[in-house]
Amino acid sequence: MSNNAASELTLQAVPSWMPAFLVAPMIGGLSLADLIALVVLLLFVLIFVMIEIWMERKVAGHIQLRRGPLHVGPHGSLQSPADVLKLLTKEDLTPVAADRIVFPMAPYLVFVPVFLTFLVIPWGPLVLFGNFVVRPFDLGLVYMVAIPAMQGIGLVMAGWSSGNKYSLLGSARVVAQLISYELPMVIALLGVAMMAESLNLTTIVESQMKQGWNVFLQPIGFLVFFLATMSEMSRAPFDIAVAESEIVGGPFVEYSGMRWGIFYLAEFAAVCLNSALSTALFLGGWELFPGSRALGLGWISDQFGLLFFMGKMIVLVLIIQWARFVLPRLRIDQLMDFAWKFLLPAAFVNFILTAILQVFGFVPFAIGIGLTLALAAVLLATYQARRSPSTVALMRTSPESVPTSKGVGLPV
Amino acid sequence: MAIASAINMLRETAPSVSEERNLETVEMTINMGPQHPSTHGVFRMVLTLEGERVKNVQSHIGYLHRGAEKLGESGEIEGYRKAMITLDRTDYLSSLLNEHAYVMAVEKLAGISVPERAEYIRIILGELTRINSHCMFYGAFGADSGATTPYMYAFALREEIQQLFEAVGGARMFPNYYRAGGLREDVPHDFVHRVQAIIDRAFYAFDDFDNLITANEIFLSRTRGLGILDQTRALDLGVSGPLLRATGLPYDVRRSEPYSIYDRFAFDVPVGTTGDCYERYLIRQEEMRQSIRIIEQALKDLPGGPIMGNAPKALRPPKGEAYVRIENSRGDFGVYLVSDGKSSAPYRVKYRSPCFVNLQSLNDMVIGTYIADAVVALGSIDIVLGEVDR
Repeated sequence: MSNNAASELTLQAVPSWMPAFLVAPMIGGLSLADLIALVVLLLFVLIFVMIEIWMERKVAGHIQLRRGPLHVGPHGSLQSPADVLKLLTKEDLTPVAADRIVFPMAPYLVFVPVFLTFLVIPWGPLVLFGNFVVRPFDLGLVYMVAIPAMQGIGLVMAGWSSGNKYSLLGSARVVAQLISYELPMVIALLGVAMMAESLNLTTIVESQMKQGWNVFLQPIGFLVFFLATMSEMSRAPFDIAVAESEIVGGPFVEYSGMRWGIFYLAEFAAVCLNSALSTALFLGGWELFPGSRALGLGWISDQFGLLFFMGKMIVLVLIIQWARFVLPRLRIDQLMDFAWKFLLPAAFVNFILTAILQVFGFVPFAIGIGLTLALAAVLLATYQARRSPSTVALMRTSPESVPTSKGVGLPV
Repeated sequence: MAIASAINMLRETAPSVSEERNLETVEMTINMGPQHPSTHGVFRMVLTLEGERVKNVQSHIGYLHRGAEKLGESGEIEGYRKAMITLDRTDYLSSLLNEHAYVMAVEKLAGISVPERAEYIRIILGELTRINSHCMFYGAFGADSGATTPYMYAFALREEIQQLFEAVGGARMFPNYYRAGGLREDVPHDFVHRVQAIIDRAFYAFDDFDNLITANEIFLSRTRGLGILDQTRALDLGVSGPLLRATGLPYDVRRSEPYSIYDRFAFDVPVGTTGDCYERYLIRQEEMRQSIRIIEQALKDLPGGPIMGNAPKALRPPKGEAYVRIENSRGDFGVYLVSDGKSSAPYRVKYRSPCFVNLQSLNDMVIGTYIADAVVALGSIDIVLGEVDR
């Protein structure tokens, strides 16, 4: 790589898993290795999204007393490729009221930021290839917050340019949701940065292997981050932006064919992305289990880390899909309340507790966590007690207690 | 001096508080329906919105008007049976309950008596229809509040009930099974076992329903305190059924004016206290359990004997009129029949549909809430457009 200052600030290395002869040739600042890495990454995202869609349909099927896709390929596993083919052959409609320039542009502006964020994810090592990571930026954490936020612009463009009031409502909801959930998410990530004393995602994973997984040291931070990302990508129960029973799909109402397919792709890629980020930031990245290095089992993670990373990621994806099929949807004001009155204070508590851990050590931190949990339990108990009982009073069957229609003057 | 003048300058240039408050919000009119996933058929609401808030609702009905009443009056050859065919298709979710009301009206008009066995079978099938309809409500209400899974659980139970209907009357949704004076034909020999199997299955299903959303925090926050209709207003509007019972009035035609043989069964009428959407939901859940109670009692006492009374093949009732009301799954359903004494078809058929009347309460529930609430409130009324439009 070139040795100028800018590249030292942002770029650390080309993919370590690329053979050296691919690194040398440069085309406009990008080496051949970079291009190959991008293509490999894009292929990975596309294939994983297909698997993910199949998984989601299977999860939905088994939760909903159905079987899910079953006939195309073994256990319906080729259903997603078949669907992609179908989408590609469908007519691409543009409504008369739509904006000619913005409308076709929006799907790409939604997908590209999601894809770009994949660049910084440290996937972990695999036997001969070394550590899979396309760009181990020093500012990885900032990058992974900043880039996906651009998705909102694409969604607003889609909603506004469709010339449909449902879309417009949907995009207005997207903006409100993004602004509200970005804040707790970033503050939850401050704790992670403080723990690792770095913004580099690879360093963060490696520091977790020394100190212990962040999910144990920052349980509140993990919860806040996971919920905030679920809301950011508009997944149930936070899917008010596309709420099918209210605004019939929000910004996507007017899209058809592959343009709609790209939105769909972006949505599922975002699920994959956020699960991968949660894995890297909180679940110890590619480590087999917490403390494995101390037991002398570190070599397993060093050799097959990629598999463990994928495994954890898939578990998180399954949790996100599970939530979608068992929970009703929040209303927009409840969504805002949840972000500002619950997630944001919780993120600050996490921030302060992490500071205590770094400055005063583990004992005050443990006391702090205990106090927080106790406070949460007390609040929950008072809330439950204040809630009136959720049962219906049952009238006894004695006929005297029941008014006749004449008695109350009911209209016929 | 300089500071004071600077402050004055700022005061003049900066927008005052009152000006900021007068920031213009453009009202938006949004057309919900007749093609919309949660308007329960072809209902159309024109919502005037201020941001996400609903300022006004304008309902439009009539997209499914098929002249069911008039069609029932014109069957010179089919006679009094014809109206029942169209009646089945008005409220397609409580078809057998409505058939019950219609045959009772004909029996009242013509003075026909019904054998015991037919009465019991009518009760059993009617209560199964009520469960069937409330299952549909459960699924649709879940979908309205954003949960997709309840539909599937509700339909699993519905499927078994509808298979029973198919075995009994030959059709899943429109059996056209009752006749003035009894039933078209006797139930299959394994009827009792099949109903018993449904009862056994239903308890698990109801528990599943409860586990899925009844105590769910999100569901509670979406439905509690929403769409409150107080008792006076409900009575003014003529609302009946679970909507009225949720306001605290235990008015159930099965109990208030017992028809058929409902006075022989023990069952409870669930009533609410506040009259919000959540209580309407709970009341329907409880009614399904009470229906099972009634079915169990009726199955135990189910007598043998004929299924058809003394009804003549060609029915020509004397001149007169009859009105019969029943409690169908949505409320107080009435059938009004007039016979001119000459023709073999009814001179006038009129249905009092609870859906149409209950739908009048929509504005009271929706105005001032959010769009998402409008959908849930509409779902809690549990309308069937076939019956609203007729």
